This record gives sequence, structure tokens and C-alpha cells, in this order.
Amino acid sequence: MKTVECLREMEVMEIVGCGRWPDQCPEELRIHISACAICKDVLDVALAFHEDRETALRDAQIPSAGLVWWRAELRARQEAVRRVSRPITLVEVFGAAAGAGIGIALLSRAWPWLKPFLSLPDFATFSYLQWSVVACFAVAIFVIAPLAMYLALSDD
Amino acid sequence: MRDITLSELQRLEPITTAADDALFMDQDTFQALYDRTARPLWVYLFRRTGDSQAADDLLQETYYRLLRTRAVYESEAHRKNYLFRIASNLVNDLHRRRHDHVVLSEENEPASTDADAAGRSVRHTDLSRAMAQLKPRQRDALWLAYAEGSTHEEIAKVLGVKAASIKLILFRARRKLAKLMRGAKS
Repeated sequence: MKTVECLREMEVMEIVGCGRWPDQCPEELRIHISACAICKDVLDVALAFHEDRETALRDAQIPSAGLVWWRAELRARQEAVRRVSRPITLVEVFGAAAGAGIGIALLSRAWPWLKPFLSLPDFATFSYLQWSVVACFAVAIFVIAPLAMYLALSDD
Repeated sequence: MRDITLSELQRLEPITTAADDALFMDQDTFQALYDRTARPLWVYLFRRTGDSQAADDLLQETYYRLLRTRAVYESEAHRKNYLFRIASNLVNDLHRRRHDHVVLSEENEPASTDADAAGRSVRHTDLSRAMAQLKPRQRDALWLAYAEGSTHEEIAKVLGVKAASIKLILFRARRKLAKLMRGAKS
């Protein structure tokens, strides 16, 4: 079976980790490293990583703990609100669908009674009073109703 | 899904229960944990992504996930391993999304002026290029072992593999990396 580790690997890593390589490395370990392929690899890799990490740690510009905490709090709150508002939205959709269904059902029941009233009148015979009633209805339908809807559904 | 407005947030805030928006740690504990772990974690993320902005974002996401996890940690080391595990998964997800296997870039490296710094920069470039040719798991294992000084058990927990297989993963990764670095030097 192929050897994948050397018992002295940890010593090599410690020497590198403490910054004792090469000056303070015992001669006997130095000889071992030059003869052991595994420890030689460990030394090269550990040295490269150690130096790279030290440089990066020195130059790292990380965000403050307070900022990370504040963002986490804000996001947690937003997620909670989303979770809470999801059923409300569903209820709103269901309510609108039910309202539309009831409206259609009522309209179909009342249709025979409404039909005579809905036949188009002869506009040429309308008096000023009748025209003003029609205009009021038109304003109510095209202006006031959308405005009321907007005010009811907007934020504040 | 549409964004939630501030007024909706304020209106619905009383409805949300404490558990919904809870961070499972108090701010002082978080501050202490952050002071101990943020810098090495950021360096790990930066070295894996090669992008300081991505490292910042992933750092935020890593701590957020930790704060939102109701977990009992056996020790500080356990918590740190968990943190690195989250970070490692996030980096792998990012790489999968980007279809990008570039490990390190030089874009954020400070300009070197003196000879020592220039030498460090060259060695860092060699390491970067060599690391880019390894598998993500090998990179993680090497970084944790030789930059963070983690034990085999700790690395196994971060990578989600058996501790017994770490020796072999490290051996192969180390041998390949050392060979690549020597090749770059020569």
C-alpha cells in the first residue's frame, strides 16, 4: 500500500506555522525533510499557504460587525414580514375571486328583471336632467371609482 | 414577487412573532465571534472567489445563515467549522452559478513596490495558478489544513466527508499542488 502520510508532517507544519523555518529548524528535521518526499511537499505547500494567508490577513478590509449584524436583523425582519404577508395576499385573492363569483351569480339571477332597463334609450329625447344623471354615472364609474380604489389600496 | 415597502414593513411588524425574525445569538456574542472569525473567513472567501466584493457578500450571507440557525455548538471549534462549512457551500454554489473555475485573481492585489513585496506577489500568483487547477474540495482541504491549521476531523466536518478519507484527499491535493508550484518556478 502506498504511504500517504509521514509521522513528522505535524512537526513540519508547526515549524512553518510558528515562523521558525528555516533559521530555527532543527538540523535533524531539515535532513529528514530533504530525504522525505511527503515532508518536502508539506513544507512547500505549508510555506506557500502560510505566507499567502499572512499577506491576505494584513490587507483584508472586512465590514464591521455592527454593519453585518444590522443587515442580518433587517433581512430577518423582511423575511418574517414576507412569510406573514403571504397568507394575507392569498386571502385577498380568494376574496376578490369569491366577490366576482357572487356578483356574476346575482347578475344572472337578476338579469330578467334588469333587461328592460338596460335596453338603450333614445338619447335624442333626453332632457337636461336625464343627461346630467348619465354624466354623473359616467364620472362615478370612470373617475371616482378608480380614485377610490387607488386610495383604498395604496400605502398611506 | 414584489418588494415590500417600508410602510408595509412597519404595519406588519407587530404581527410577526419573535421566532419569525429571530437571530439565534445576542449582539455581544456575535461581536465576539465575529472578531475571532471574520478576518480568516473573509480571506478564505477572497482566496476562493478572487473578488473582494463577492467575499464581502458571501461573508454577510455566511453569518446570516449562522445567525438564523438554531443549533447547539459543542465548542468554539465546532462553531467555527460550521461557519466554514456554510462558507464552503456558498462558494461552491457561486462557482456553479458562474460556471467559472477561476480561483484567484490579481485585481484586488495591492501594487508591490519593494522587492520583498514583489517576491510575495510572484509566489502568490504561482499559488493561485496552481490552486486553480485543483478540484474545489482539494482547494478547501488544503486551505483548511495549511492556512487555517485545521485537524483532519475538522476538515472532514467542513467538507462533509469521512475523517478517514481526508488523509488521501490531502495527500493527492498536496502532491499535485507542490508539483504545479515547482513546475511554475522552473
